[in-house]
Amino acid sequence: MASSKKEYVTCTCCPAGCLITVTLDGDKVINVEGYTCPRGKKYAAHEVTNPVRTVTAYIYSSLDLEPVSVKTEKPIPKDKIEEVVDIINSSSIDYPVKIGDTIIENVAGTGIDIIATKNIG
Amino acid sequence: MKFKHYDIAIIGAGVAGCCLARELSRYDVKTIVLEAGLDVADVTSRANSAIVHAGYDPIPGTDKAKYNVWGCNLYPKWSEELGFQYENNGALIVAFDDEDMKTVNALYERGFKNGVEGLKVLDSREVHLLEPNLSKDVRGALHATTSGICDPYQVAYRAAENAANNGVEFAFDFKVEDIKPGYVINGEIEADCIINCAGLYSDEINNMISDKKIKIVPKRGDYCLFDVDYGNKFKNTIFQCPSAAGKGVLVSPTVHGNLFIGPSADAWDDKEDFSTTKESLDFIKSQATKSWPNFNMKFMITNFTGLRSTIEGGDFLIEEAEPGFYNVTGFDSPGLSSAPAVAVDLSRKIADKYNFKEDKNFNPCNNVKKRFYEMSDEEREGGKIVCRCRSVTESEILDALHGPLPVLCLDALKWRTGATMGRCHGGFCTPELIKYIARENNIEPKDIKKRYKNSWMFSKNRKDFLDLLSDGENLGYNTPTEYDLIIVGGGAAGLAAAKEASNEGVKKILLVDRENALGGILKQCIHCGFGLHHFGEELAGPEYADREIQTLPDNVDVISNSMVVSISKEDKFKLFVSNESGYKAYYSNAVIMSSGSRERGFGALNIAGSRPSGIYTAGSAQNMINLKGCIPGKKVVILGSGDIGLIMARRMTMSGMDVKAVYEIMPNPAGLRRNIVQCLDDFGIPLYLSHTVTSVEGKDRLEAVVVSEVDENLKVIPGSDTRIECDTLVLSVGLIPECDLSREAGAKMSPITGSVEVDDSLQTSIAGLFECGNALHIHDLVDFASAEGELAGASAAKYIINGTESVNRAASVDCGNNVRYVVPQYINDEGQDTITLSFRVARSMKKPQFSVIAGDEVIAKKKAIIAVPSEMVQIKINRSDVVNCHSIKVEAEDGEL
Repeated sequence: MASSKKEYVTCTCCPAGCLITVTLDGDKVINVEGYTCPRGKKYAAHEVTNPVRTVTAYIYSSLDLEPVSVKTEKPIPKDKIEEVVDIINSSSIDYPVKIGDTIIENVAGTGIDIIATKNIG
Repeated sequence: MKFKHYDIAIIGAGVAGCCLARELSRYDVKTIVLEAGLDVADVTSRANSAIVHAGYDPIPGTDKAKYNVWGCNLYPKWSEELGFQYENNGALIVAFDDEDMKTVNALYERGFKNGVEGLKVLDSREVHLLEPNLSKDVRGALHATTSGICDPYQVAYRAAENAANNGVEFAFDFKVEDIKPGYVINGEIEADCIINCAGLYSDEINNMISDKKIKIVPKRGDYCLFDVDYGNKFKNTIFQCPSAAGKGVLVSPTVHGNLFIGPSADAWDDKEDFSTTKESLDFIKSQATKSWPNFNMKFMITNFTGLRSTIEGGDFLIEEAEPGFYNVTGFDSPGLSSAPAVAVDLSRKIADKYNFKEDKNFNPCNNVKKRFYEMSDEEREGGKIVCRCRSVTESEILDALHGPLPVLCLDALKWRTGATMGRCHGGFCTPELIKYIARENNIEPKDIKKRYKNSWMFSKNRKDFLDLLSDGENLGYNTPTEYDLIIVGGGAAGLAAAKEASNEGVKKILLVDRENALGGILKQCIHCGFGLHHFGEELAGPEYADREIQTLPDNVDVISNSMVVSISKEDKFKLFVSNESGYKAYYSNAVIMSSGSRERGFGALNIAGSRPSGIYTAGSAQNMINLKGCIPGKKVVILGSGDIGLIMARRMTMSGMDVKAVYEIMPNPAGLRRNIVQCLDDFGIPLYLSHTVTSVEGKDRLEAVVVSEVDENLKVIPGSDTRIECDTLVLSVGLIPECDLSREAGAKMSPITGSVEVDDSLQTSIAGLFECGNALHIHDLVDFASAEGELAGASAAKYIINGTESVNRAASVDCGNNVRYVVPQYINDEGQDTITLSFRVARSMKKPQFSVIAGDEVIAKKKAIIAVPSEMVQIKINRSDVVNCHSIKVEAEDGEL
């Protein structure tokens, strides 16, 4: 198993914050150690192979001092956070929006839309 | 070159300069006051003991003796004419031994020589009759009945306002750099006569023009200020006898109802440094204990330092140093007490010399409107309340912004109106005040100063900020005034309570909210993570709020931008509500308080150092960024690992700020593990446990913080200091329930939660008054606050519909081992079968076992992998198991390791 490598994950499922070790062979999880409950085991494997985050941010609207709060409709790959935040930060809105309205389609090629979480304008 | 000509230029707008300006405005002369700072009373006049001394202390025959006694006698009249707060509360100079009693008698003699009236020497019994909270060790005292207290800023401000109304000009941000003979100042202003009232800098001014050089030595005094809950502990100002060991520390009420201890008195060589030091703060604490053994630092709300300008010889220096050049300097204590008398005396002398004519139009009185908080219910006309804690109205803010003296910084508004000086320390109203200053002065937030010229408050704001300012619409000002149920606070708990009460059959419901839109703090919590329990999915804060608002039943009337000012109960509950439409009484059979919480502020932390701009609570920073598009700074340190602090670490990073680190004094993080990973680890922001901020640096804007490591007893480890450069400090150091209305209505309080005690229907000790959400105790999850709101709504419905009048509390709920608090505090003999107890453990525990014990019997048990104080635990019990007990107990024990 010369090609195997170990990744360390702090579990976020509860305040215990177990430090879990995940052993990978390439992209394949071959062992998980250090968890206390099944939720932790599942989380750690997922966090190592395909970590995702829901990004929330705000976009200035020319219709209101209060910015439009937005989120990625689904979690996006963690390594896309910076790019997505940059795209959101350079956007602006000049029309009324309702919660759930799509603001940016297929952000950073993730296939996931940025949607409004606030009614503004 | 043509100069702008004045008869008189006064340099310095402290108490001395402003009082002189006012007295000179009696004459038909052109006067200007030149002030280097952005506001009156900027330096020594701002921070001192605020005592109007009787005059027993100065050496007979000195200027200090003469002006002090005279000034003290002028104060009542000046207060009446100018409208500043002054109270003749009296002073006691207390003696602890024979030596002190000798001093007391000597001060009596000296006071007599100085012409002080109303001095008495009291014995121990007489002293304790006056002041029962004084140390039993006090043997006797000198009672100075003419002594008083005032607000020194207001003395200067009201005198300056009166001067301005009578034609005196004021130039702020005007530093005198150069004076030429004939008296040309900075090459632009020509004055026949100069009066040097420049306080700490009066030596520099004098030395520009006079050959008789002088030197001012600053002396520093630190103070600790206590909450208004402590204000009534003493009526008199309590001095200790001056002795070989020092002048002693005093304990005194303030005209604002607070109490303070101080000052320390240290020679100090830096006129620009207004830092408190740990050593001085420790010194005044230890000294104050002598007079007042029972004081508790928990009620301290801030510390501050004041500088005094002393001069060789120890007396004031009031003289015509050169022809037409007057000094009013060396004006340390009793300068504040003496200022009116010096102003009267010197202005007459100058008027005689220059043959000034009296101005027939001089009006000695200011038209000071009665303040909202001072008015009776009958006198109040209503208005939007901007500062909730001190009940400062919008019209009071606007009056201050359009008064005769310009508002050039946030602190000018603070000191003139009292806004931000309440319990939340400006956490809620600072963002609102920024809007008013921006709009009325037509200035962008990034150009607003906190106090000094370089004390900027925001590094950046959205460009269209000024164009987009609006107050939002007012809802529901024509609603009726009689209801079955009134709910105070339209956040998550209040919305849930309204819905549930309606579902349970309550017909007429009113929801009162102080902001322009419902949803409470959820409006600014734009991150996700809300609603997993309540809605079964994860939502952003505004989405959660919107779902609750959209499903609000039609029989719930809403009034917004409205503040409940008081609650009382006779037959019905009577709530006074203030808003733009007026000041109205609303009546109901039951009331639910869901007014949320406020953040613990910087003042409560007793951190030494200066008081620069750039220190924000996490919630205020969140409000400014997420709701107003203002960025607080560039380089940030976060103190406290509460969830809001962690969330803000991520938000500020995404908004382009450089977040240096998060420091947490406890050995465990206070926030959720998920937030540590997703808000800190994801962005490479380090978290330091067992570390705290011990000092802040920077006079104008924050320049650095000093962080230190602490041991297991939370004591700072010597030598572990690190200085971190930053321009912003964000605090996430805890939330405090906002339950003041229930407390003032007389509901019984819990010393542990800091809120009211409730039974399992969430009813307080007042029948029909219910409390829920963060107003009752702090929740980690909004879902639980909603659940609590639902319970309060259902309980209120039962109370209203069944007409229950009495509270039948069958059993008390006590804290057993390792449990810090439990809500509810009582179980009733009737109600739903299942009761949920919410509690927090007192320390971190691995594999804990929770149990609820009634008598000898364990009635409920629960296990967990871990328990930490920052995470609420809930356990269910059956009412039938409790009914025959006087008390039950919740315990947490360590499980198998």
